[in-house]
Amino acid sequence: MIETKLGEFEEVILLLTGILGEEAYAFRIAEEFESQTGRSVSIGAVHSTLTRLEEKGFLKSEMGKSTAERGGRRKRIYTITAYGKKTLTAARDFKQALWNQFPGFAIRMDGIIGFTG
Amino acid sequence: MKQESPKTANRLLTRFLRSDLAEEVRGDLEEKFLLDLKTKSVFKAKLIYWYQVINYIRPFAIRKSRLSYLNNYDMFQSYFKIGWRNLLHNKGFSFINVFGLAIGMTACVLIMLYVVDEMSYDKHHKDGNRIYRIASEVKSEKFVAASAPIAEGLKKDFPEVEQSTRLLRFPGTDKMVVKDEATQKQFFEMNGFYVDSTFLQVLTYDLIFGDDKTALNDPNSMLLSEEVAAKFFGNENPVDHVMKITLPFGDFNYTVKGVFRTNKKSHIPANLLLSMNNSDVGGWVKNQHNWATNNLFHTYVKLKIATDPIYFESKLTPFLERNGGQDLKAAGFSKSLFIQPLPDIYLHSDYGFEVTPNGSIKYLYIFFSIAVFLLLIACINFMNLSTARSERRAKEVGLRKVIGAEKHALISQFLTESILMSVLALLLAFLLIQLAIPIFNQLINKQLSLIQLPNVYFWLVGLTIITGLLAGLYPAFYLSSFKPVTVLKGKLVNTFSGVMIRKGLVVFQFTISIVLILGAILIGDQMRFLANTDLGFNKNQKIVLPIQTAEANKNAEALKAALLANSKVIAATHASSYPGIENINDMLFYAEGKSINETVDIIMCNAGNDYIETLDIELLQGRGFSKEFMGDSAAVVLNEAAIKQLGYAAASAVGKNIYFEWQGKKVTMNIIGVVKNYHFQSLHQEVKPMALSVSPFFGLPMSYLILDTNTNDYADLIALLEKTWKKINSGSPFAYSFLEKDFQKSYEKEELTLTLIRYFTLIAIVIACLGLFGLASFTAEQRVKEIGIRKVLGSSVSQIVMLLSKDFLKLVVISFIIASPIGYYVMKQWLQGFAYHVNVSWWIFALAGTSALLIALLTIGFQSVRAAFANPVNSLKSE
Repeated sequence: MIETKLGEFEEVILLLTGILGEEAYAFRIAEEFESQTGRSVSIGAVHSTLTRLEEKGFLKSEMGKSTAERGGRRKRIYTITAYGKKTLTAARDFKQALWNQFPGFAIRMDGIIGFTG
Repeated sequence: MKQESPKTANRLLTRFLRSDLAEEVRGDLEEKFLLDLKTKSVFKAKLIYWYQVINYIRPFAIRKSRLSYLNNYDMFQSYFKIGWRNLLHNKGFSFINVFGLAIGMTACVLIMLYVVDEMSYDKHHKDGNRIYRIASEVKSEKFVAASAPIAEGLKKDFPEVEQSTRLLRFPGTDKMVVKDEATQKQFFEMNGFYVDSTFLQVLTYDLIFGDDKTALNDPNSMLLSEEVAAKFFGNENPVDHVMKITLPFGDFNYTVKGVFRTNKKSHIPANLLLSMNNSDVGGWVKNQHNWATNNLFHTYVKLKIATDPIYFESKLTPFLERNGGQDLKAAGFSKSLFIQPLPDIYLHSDYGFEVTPNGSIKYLYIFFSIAVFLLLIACINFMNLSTARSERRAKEVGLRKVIGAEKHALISQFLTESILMSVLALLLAFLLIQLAIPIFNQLINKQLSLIQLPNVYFWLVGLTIITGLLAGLYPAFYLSSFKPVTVLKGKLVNTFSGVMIRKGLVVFQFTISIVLILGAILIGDQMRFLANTDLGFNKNQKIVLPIQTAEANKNAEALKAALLANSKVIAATHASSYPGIENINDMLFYAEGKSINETVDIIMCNAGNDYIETLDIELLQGRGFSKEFMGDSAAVVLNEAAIKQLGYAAASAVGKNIYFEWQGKKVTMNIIGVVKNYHFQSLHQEVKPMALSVSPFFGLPMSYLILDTNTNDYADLIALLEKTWKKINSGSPFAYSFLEKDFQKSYEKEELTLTLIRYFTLIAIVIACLGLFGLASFTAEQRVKEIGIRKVLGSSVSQIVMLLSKDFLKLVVISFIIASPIGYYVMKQWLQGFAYHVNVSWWIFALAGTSALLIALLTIGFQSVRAAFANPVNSLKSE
């Protein structure tokens, strides 16, 4: 059950890291999370999750370039590892497999559709 | 204008954030801030910044510091280990510290047990803070009872009185014989009290058997204490059992209606509660309508919620005037009433006619201060020795600091050590307390145990930690404030202030010890004075037999005659009272040519014909009572105090008349003799006016037979007395007491204080000396090189002993100078409790000073002499 290693929030953060590529650092991920999900999150929470994901081996990180708006400070850029990608795929496949077993909506909702329609 | 992120938030961030994260986090937050500034207000942006910073307080981001749990635990383990090693390394010092603390704690706990026990009286009554006792004051004499109609009157006149009730301790019935007809068991029982049917509605009694709502409703009902019930019935329910009470005026049947627990302490130590509506004194009680006289009824009221007691009290004397004005006028005196809160009675009330003698808040304060001071002395010891030893540990402190120990780490190290020490002392103290409690109980005549106090363990642990903290605080801060450079460089350790504080502590210890020594000597002196003062009568070899059953009363003369046949009984007399016991019977007399408004309160003693001879009282003028004179029923013998207050002269008083008024009639008594003042009460009080009379008018029962005996073998004599008694009074139990012991009972509190103070003075001295011993050996060790050099240069042993002892003796002298005025003040205060007392004379101070000095000299001397005799080669060769 490899999937249990990945929580919902972790999965989203991991995906966002993959999406952002070169720009994947804590602040940017947090911004992206807010704009994609509409939920607000603190940088600390994102950072904490990134650290955890790195500890689990799904991410690796290195210090990137510094920019002026950061007062010359460097940022830590996270990149997804092969293992991380595999886990993401596995999680998606697992869910897909579960969905496949899910009883079809049509049967259960039949009567209701008939009633309203 | 360029906005900057909030400084305080940044400071907070750098304080907790792991330093390896600082760069990226600060960068991210800064970026966020700048972004926010573009779209939001400055204030909002700053607020968000704060929010972000606070959200970084997460386990992953926080600096791994010493403060984290695991590391802390390790440090404490290390402190503990080092502390334990130090303890073992300095066995002598450790022993002095632990033992001193343990003794201090033991003494403190024992005294606190006593104090808490004394404070527990009457705290269990329901609504106890609304219950008050009504007490009276006449001619500036206060007594804690009131006349009969007052209780009912209060209920009638004051809506704020929820309930009132009375308790009657009927004079002359201090010992009642209780008999169970079925089993033929009979015992003398003390503390049987008559109570109104409302008694249980005001005061709370926990009934094992019976119903407290109805128990006293019927006439001739009786409640037994659990002890009395157990004596007669074991564990069985005795309710509705009929028992016989034997009183001087007959036998009376009472029905048991309940059994009450005695686990809660009260100023009313009842064994029997008898219904006041009864066939013995009941008739007399019902006829008590006078508001002025017979102030025998202990009256309790329960006030309604939110009644102002002070306002209530202010209405009492007008209330008395309103109802009893006539009676007071006829009696010729004025009376005022005051209230006593129920929970305060036991410790604060010490007036006339108490239910039984109470405790005393004054002595409680004394004991409490001794407890606190003993603990303080023990703590001071610890502080003193720890700071003195600090030179040895100074290097350790220096090194620890160099390696990176912070001040707070050092403080917690030393506090751990001292708490470790105090916990050891606590364990030792537990052992000592267990051993000492039986002895202590014997001393104070109580049954105390640690279990009796529910919070005692909480207390003790608290005490231990406080002691440990208190004892460790000074060394902890003192040692941790050493500068590593100074300490590691060389010797400079004994800073001026350190030495001064240490000396100050020694002075404090000895001041307390000397005050205690002074107190012990003075109390001892006063007790000797009390024992040796000529009381004006002979208290030796007097045996008292209580005549308190109807049978014994009837056979009184026959018994006296039979006992006098024994050659060891020299004289015998019947009396209503004898010196040393309470006598509340009094009458207001006035002299020839005066009126009822100029009366003198004279205490009355109903005496047999041979009273004066039996007690060996000195007759100054006239004669005593005698069978030969028939008209003696209207005669009195007065003491000098009475003669003086009446305005007569002792030489010419015989033959003169004195008068009193009773129910509107004037009665004349003739003075037939004058006796020298003798102490019929303890030396706490001045000799009051007193009259001896054989008149049946002052109809108190002749409850005692007093025998003047001459024997060396009391056991034999008492066996003989009992044999004679049994022959004549087969149905009454035999009891006896020694007059001297009864008289001595008045000094129970003082004797207890003396014993306790002696023991605790000893303990204080031992603790102080342990400390001094430790300090002296330390000093000797510290100055060992100096001594060596001095000896090499030609100092004699005595010079060196002087050198080492001088400093300490100086401290003892200073302590003496401080202790003397304190001691003098305390002693003066204590002596004010006695009308007759010794003076605080110079020899007490001389004795206390010399003994303190000698004890100190002995303590230091051993160390000094050893140091002085040491071969200088040994101390000098190593450098």
